[in-house]
Amino acid sequence: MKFKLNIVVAVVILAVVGIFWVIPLYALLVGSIKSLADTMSSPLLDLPRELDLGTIARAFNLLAGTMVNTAIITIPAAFIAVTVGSIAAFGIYLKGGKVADYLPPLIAITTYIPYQALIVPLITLIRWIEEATGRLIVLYDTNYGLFLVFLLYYTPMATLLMFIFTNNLPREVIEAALVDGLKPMTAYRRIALPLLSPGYVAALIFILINMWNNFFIPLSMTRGYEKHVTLKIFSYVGQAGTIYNEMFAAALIGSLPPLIIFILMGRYFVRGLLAFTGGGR
Amino acid sequence: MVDVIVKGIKKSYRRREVLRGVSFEALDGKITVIYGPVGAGKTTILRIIAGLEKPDEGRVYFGDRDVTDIPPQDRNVGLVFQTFALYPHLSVFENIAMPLKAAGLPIEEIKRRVSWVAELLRISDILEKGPAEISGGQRQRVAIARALVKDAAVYLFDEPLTNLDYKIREAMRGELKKILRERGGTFIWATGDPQEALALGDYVVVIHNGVVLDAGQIHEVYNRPKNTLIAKYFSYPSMNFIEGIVVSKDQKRVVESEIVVVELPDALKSLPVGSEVILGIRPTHIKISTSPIPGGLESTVLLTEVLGSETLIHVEVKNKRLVVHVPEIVRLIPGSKLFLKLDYSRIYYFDKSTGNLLHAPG
Amino acid sequence: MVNVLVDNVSHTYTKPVVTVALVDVNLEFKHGGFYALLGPSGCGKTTLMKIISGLLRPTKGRILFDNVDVTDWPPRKRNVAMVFQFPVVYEMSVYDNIAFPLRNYGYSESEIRKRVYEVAELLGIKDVLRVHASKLDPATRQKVAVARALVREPSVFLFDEPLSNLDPLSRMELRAKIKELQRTMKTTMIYVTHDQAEALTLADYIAVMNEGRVVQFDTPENLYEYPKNTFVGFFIGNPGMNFINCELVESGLRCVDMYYPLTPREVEALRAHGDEFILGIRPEYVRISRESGLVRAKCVVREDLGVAVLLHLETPGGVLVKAKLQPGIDVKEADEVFLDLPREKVRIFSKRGDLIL
Repeated sequence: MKFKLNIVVAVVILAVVGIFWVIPLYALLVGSIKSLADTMSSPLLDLPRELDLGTIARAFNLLAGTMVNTAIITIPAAFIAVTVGSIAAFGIYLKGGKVADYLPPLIAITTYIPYQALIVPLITLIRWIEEATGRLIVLYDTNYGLFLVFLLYYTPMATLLMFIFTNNLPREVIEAALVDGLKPMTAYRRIALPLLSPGYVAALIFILINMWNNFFIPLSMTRGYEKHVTLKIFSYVGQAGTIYNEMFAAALIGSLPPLIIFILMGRYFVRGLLAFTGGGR
Repeated sequence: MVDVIVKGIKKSYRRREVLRGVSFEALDGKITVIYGPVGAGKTTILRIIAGLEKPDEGRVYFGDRDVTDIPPQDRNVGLVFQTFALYPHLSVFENIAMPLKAAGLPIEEIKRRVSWVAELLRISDILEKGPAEISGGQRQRVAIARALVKDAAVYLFDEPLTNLDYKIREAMRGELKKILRERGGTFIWATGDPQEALALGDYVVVIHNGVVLDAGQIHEVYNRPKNTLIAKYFSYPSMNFIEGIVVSKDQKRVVESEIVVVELPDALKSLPVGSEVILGIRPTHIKISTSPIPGGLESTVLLTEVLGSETLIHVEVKNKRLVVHVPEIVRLIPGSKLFLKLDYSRIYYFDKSTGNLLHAPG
Repeated sequence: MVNVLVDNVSHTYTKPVVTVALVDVNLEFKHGGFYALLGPSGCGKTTLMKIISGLLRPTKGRILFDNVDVTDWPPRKRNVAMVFQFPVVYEMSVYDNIAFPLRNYGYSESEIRKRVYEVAELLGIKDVLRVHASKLDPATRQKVAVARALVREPSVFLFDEPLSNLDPLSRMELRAKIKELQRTMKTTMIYVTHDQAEALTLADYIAVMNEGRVVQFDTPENLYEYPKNTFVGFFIGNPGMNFINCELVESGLRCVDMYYPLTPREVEALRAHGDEFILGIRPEYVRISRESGLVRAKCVVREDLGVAVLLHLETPGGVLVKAKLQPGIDVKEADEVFLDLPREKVRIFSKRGDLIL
């Protein structure tokens, strides 16, 4: 029997890579159920000597408020970003011509700009607005501010994603809508959007997860650690470096919501991807 | 319900000139066929009339209204795409109702009109189904219904029968002509199939390489092709061409070609000796026999194509290839001899250098 | 060059919805012959072809190549060549495209060169051998696809509507080319199409299919003259046969206001099948006369198709008959004429559609 060498090699490589990912996950899982005493005395990867679910309960209590706050900010922000991006993509699609040739690459370029390059000008601008309006519009360390910056930063990416899906729409069906007398916005709402829905959901999930897991924007836009989940988890670090049980539990809990969303909406994500590769027509 | 006038339309895509100055009129109440081979520019013209494209030069008029700069949603045009372009997520009823909804008609009126047009196209029984659940022929009818349900200034059809099975096409041709007449309006129908054009059209605009070769009453354009290009493209089966020279024989002016000698008709008696002409004869005007015919030509059979109830025979006469059409099924063995008799009273004469028609039979 | 036997094949698709595609198909394709599978969209012809090629495993039945059961063999093992509706052409020069399978098999370059030139000559693409495939028009690409399939010297050649994506002119050209090919090569060829012109021109035998069944497997002449049922009569011929509903009476058939006489023996033979029948006659066989005939009819539509004139005639009783205009007489819309139906061309079908007389 001919052994397919390439398959064996592939499996080995996958196994090795897999291990690099599994080990930390294992550590997280195992660490979350350890008691304090356990944490102090036993090595990282050892199984707990006694099961202590209190760790998880404590982490949860600590995290709950922040998670709610994060949700309040990111979910609307993601929705608005993807909606705006979708409408923009559709507009560019309809316009065609040079606009459709040059604008998308331009938008793509803006997504390459690392956030680090933007913070200083951004914070300076925010501070200036505060001064100029006599502390009327306060964006620093507020939920509104965080919401706005998320929106501004992620809308180009959302537009780009939606542009990919919009380009795969059957052009003549959209044209039929125009010929039928629908105004562009109505054509978007009644015809394009239903056809785009897998893509829309896929983009939504992607942007939401990105916002949720984002560390740097909340770090630079807020004082303290309370407003965003990633900050809260980070707040464990430095405290007493070896007390990792609660931190691990917090990390697990904090990353759960996006995971749950992904699992629930995963169908749409895959369908959206398929549409991206043209299998949807 | 207006005359559509198109003047001097030019359109290029990325350096390629698709339309080079197209002008024609489509009259209210008539079916005007835009006929041309693939790539002639038919779809582009329809899209410009619908407003989906803007011409680089030229104007489009609906009656005396210049609509060239008006976007498609405000032109009130009915368009049937080659790919049907039905709304996949809506039912047949909703598909047909869409233009009426867009116009803001009351629901009762919408229901009335949709059932009227569904009756006309015989799709009343599939109104609740989705486009994916019905056959290709039915989808085409839905696409046509969606266009006809409006009170449009003009109805445009972009080769709607091309993607269908031959038998369905055959059946739909006669049916559609009746339906369009009943509906009334201005109809522009694009196709590359000469038989479809002849079956449906009142007028024809023959387009080739972005230029209008001729326009007029369809049977006139067909029977009196203005030049060899039209004779070649707008004929079914394609006309046979034989090159020849005018010489003097026995005090008569004749055309001497590689395979036949034909006496010039009275109308051309004044053609100077030495003029180069092209003789055109339709495959339908050549008689065949397996035994020699007096005054006939001997040919070798190259191959036979059975079309259904008719046959096309490709033969070779002295290195010249000819096609003969026979209104019955015959099967001949390639290489066998076949005798031909051309109907001299049906010969077309074209000038070789310009390609223009010199004389048409009958 | 192989005998292909389709043994009691049935096939039902389970996704996306349960669809019965083929029912009890039995066909034999003898080696070296050119066969067509003809039928409307959805009749099962493509499914049958996929089963013959090995792309699909039938839910019931077997496929035999020269008496060997190949039902479980993948396409590669069966050595079948396939040409599809959309030209399958690789992103390389025409020469490399055609050489591709030979190179895979490990032939020497000189052998490859010889074969590629041979095949390119046959298909008339010798002058584009160096051109990159992306620069070619669809018709030429199809020729390349055929060449690539040919060069492997397959046991069976399968065509799946290869001309339906081409414009009418290219279609005619390529049709003639394939016909030439058929005469030169002696490979067993099976050609799937919905276009009867292609089937009638190219094939020695045609399997007319409808709704998953083979309705008639016969020569083009027999299909035309002796259709086994009304479907074949309708599908073959352009246009297809006229069908008139009638009932059996004393000495013939009565179709509303038309009366068609039959001999006593014929009437007896029909009586055994009931008393409602369908009378079929091809438009090209309907005789029109200004003086006399079986029944009077008015011309309601005149279709001038250039190559022929098709008349839609209606009797006072409402019977519709299409007739092809013969030379020597001209009929305009609203004219009244007489129709005659010569007995030797009339076919009588049962109410269900099967041929009786």
